[in-house]
Amino acid sequence: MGDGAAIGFVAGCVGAFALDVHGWTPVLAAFALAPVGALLSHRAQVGDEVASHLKRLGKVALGALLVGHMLAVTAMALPSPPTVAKYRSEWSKPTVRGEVEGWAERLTRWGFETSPDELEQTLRRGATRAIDGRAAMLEPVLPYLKRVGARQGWHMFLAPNRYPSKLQILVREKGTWTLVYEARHPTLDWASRPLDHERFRSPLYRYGWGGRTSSWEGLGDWIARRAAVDFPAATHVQARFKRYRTRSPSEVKAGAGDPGKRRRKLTIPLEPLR
Amino acid sequence: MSSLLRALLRPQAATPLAAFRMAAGVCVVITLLGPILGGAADAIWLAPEYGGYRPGGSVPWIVELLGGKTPAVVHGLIAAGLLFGALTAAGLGGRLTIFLALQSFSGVINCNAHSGGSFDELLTNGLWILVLAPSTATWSLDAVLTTGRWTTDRTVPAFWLWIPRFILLLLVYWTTGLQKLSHHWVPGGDLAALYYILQQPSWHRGDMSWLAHVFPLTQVMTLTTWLWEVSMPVWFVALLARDGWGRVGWMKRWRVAEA
Repeated sequence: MGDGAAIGFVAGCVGAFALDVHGWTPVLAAFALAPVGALLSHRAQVGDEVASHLKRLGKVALGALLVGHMLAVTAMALPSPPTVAKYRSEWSKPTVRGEVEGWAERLTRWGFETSPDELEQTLRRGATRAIDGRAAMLEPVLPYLKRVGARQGWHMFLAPNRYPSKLQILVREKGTWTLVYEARHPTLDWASRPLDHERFRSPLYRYGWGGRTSSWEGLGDWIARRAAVDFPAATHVQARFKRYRTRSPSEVKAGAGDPGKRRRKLTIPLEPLR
Repeated sequence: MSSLLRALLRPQAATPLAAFRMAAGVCVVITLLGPILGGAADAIWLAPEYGGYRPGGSVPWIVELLGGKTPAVVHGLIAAGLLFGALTAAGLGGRLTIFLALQSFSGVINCNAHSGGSFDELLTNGLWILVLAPSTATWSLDAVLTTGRWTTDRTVPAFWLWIPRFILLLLVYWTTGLQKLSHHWVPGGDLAALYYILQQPSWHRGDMSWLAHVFPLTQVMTLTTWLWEVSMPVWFVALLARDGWGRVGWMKRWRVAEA
């Protein structure tokens, strides 16, 4: 009986998800189907024969759901370029440009002569087609995948980011700027407890890459609200990224490296926040 | 085809599925507790007017339904996720508990899609399979309530064990390997992908430049990782052969021919 109620509850919710309905409908559908499931699973009330038919029907429905689910997650996982590959600006990022140049050089070495610009054009055209085709293919199943937590293509560590960024925070007191935080720095550790947490690493990576301006500005405001309390004498706070090229093994051994460039600077006055 | 179907329907012990369920429940609890203990939960998941940092962004259906990214809603969902995650590990409440763990966990982490990662989706993918599967058949409080014992002899069709393997080995490892097309990953280049990835501040806790002195080792690890991922279909078929499919159908004939 309990299992029947659970199946009814989940089926109601999944049915509503599949139809992409919003608001209270999935919850109402779940609670409406829970007692129905409980009732139908109770053999004494519906009789052995009906129960057996329902059990078979339940198995067929579960089988169909499983097959559909496996097809949907397989389609979702098919290799594809990241959605941002449609945008021309992404191809001029130094990490992406480095990859294109590396491949153009390799293809030329293999006898398929091409320049980085030609290769970029071909790849961007192909990526745009692939992204649009994938979006059209997934459109019918996306609401379902989103609601059951399976909306995921597995783009993991596809290429190293040769130009990563480190968040830096400075406060201005008596006209002098002081660096109080730098990502992964052992002593510049103001607010490092939340900012160095794993859950903040992904946002900081994204905002250091570029774009997502309103979220980056939101983070600047959050930093300012904290700084206004922790540095009562400060007049301004500045959040920025230091972007640098990671050192090759030979550069590390020679003690050389890229000093980095400051970018995406946000300077916020603290007085209005007190 | 029928031989594959027979192999997939063959009864198997329910204990691996139970172990998977327990691990998933523990992961839900740990994943939600981490940001709370690290002082990052409110900043990441709440709306700016309540102490969060991220304005806008899409809001999960359950959060929208309950009133938005307010402390009451987000903290309530975290509490629900912790409770149902623990109950999932303990195996009390069958499918319903796991479904509620999935929805509350998913609701919380999707309050800020920027702060998530593939580890979250791997967990939610697994939880949904556990909702559909008879995952409290053994090693569960449900088993205690129905049989009086923690363990039972109940079996489950083999496909419940093959679905997570298919998702993990083929959809996760294989497809991510196929997409590792950087000239630092693919054999024939400098094989410096792991070295450079470990220099990114996002993935390390301290300076990793010492890896320059063991660079050849990182090259071997890069090649091993890439080969491991792109060769996943071979491992998958080998597992199938070891675990049942080899006893039926074309694989049996293949084995006979090979002998």
